[in-house]
Amino acid sequence: MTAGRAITALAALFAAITLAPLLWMVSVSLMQPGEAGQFPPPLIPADPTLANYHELFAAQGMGVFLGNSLLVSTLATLLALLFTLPAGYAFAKLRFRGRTATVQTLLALLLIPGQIGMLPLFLELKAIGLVNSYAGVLIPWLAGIIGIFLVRQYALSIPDELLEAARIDGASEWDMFRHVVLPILRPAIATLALFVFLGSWNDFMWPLIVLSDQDLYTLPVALASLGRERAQDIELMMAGSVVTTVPVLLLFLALQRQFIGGLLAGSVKG
Amino acid sequence: MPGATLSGVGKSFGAVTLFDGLDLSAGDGEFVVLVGPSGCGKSTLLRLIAGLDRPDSGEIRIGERQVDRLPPGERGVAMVFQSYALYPQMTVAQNIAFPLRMAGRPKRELDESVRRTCELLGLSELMDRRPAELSGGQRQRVAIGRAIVREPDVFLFDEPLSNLDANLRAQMRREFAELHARLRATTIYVTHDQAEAMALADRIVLMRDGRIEQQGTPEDLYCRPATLFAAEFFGQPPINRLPGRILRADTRRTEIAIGDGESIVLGPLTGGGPARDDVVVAIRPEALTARPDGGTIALAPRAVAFVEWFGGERHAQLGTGDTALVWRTAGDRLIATGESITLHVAPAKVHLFDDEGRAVPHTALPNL
Repeated sequence: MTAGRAITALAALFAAITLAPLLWMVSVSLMQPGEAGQFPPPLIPADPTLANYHELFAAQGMGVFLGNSLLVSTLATLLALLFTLPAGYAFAKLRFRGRTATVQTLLALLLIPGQIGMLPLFLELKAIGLVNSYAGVLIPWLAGIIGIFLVRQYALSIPDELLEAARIDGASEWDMFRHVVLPILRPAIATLALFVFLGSWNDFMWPLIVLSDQDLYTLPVALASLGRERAQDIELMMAGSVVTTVPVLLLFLALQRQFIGGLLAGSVKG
Repeated sequence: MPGATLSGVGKSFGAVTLFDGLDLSAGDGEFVVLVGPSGCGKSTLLRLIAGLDRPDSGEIRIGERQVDRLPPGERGVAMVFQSYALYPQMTVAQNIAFPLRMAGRPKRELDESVRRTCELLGLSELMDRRPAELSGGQRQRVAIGRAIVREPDVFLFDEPLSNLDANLRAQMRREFAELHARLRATTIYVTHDQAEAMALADRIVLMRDGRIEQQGTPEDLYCRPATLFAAEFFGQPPINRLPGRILRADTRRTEIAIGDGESIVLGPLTGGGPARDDVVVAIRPEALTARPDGGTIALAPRAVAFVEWFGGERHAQLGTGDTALVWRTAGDRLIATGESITLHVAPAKVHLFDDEGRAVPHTALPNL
């Protein structure tokens, strides 16, 4: 009993440490301009106001950037699922020439930091005319190696007999993928979707490199450019940060249920 | 309902040849059990028929149709796996409906078939459950339901009872037998359990190292084993084997030495007798009796080494070493350890095998 209470207390402490900056961010975003710059910095706004949010959306056009980010992240997620799921499944369960070699090559490529690839990728995209477009922003997300491996590792746990049973039951490869494999992959799909959505939502470097048109900016890029002009407006910056953070937090809360494993239980003995 | 025929089937895995021109057939409505030790190729054979593996050579027919180039779903076979292989995210009803859905059957016909199948297998109450919420026996029934709902030409069973506990296994075995009696569907059933094979089969096909060792009715294999391997594979406790040596064989009788100074006399050997005099004398534990009967031959008395009692029957090991015998007798027959007992056996119940394990036929009664 005491051990359980101690663990609860510890968990509460960690939660508090994690939550404190987020709560302070929200708090500051509600302060009057200049209020957060005092010393010592206040924790609670003396006179809460939504003026910063108004300024953000009305004057700075944050609504457009929010829409851009939603569009880019949603597309990135859908496209990543579209390409990564079949690829990961194929690497795990289908037999084809060069499968092992390809898997090993992909694994080896993970060792190369993404930043090294940015310049050549930019030049390639420039050559095919995708610079300053969302297509260019989305391309690196289409088939991330980590995503492919996530799906592959999960798909490896699907018993072969299940697929063989489906084949005998007259399922085509596509039926099998859709009706048997995808339902089992659900936890992997949720994880992958969350990773890609969070990753593309928070991505700063690549959209900054590819996009030159301000109308196309995503939230992190827009926020950074806002920061350059209005570095002194801490309250405004915090409101921008809230707008940037909250959607992904909500997404995470919605999807975390899906992480529960054990979806395979009962299909085969064990 | 058509049967299945394999002719001249060859299959290798890398450098290892498993089958080299294997022939097998299952007649219309016949229950054929493939049995053998692990690695004998029985499961691979099933996979070849199902289409999960491709033969390197030879032909597979289901009825008149040649199927060896067809994908599994178009062969008219249904298979029940050892692990059940139920679709975990589907309910019982959805699992059973799956093959019909894949065949594009209309919804109403599909629902009706699923309902009938669930009724047949006693699953009506469980139709909305998922596999994880079922017991082992219930999962097995769902797997069977998924097979029979398609009304396939041939049923394939791959060790379907191996994952169940002993009681449930016996119960499911009876259900299989009843189901087969009702559906009269051609069935090819793989198991390594000789008791299961004997209980279920119309015909047993005993396999060894990718070849058919012997096939026939359970009675054929048990009472007239063609090889020592077949004789030893069936029966629990296993058949007694004694090293023997032919001392004399003429047109009237055959005298065989077993162990030190002990010998038995059988009728004359038919079919020329073995090439060498060394033979194996094999006697089933229940063929031994303590009471002499007309025509039985007496064995040398042996001391009881140990006794096991199973209620209905008692197993006693008499003697030790090469010439030890296990005797199966009634549970109420009292046997004391150390007691010396003279056992008798009818000559017809004595099996002889040559030094390569082939049966050496002999006539039962010595013509004294």
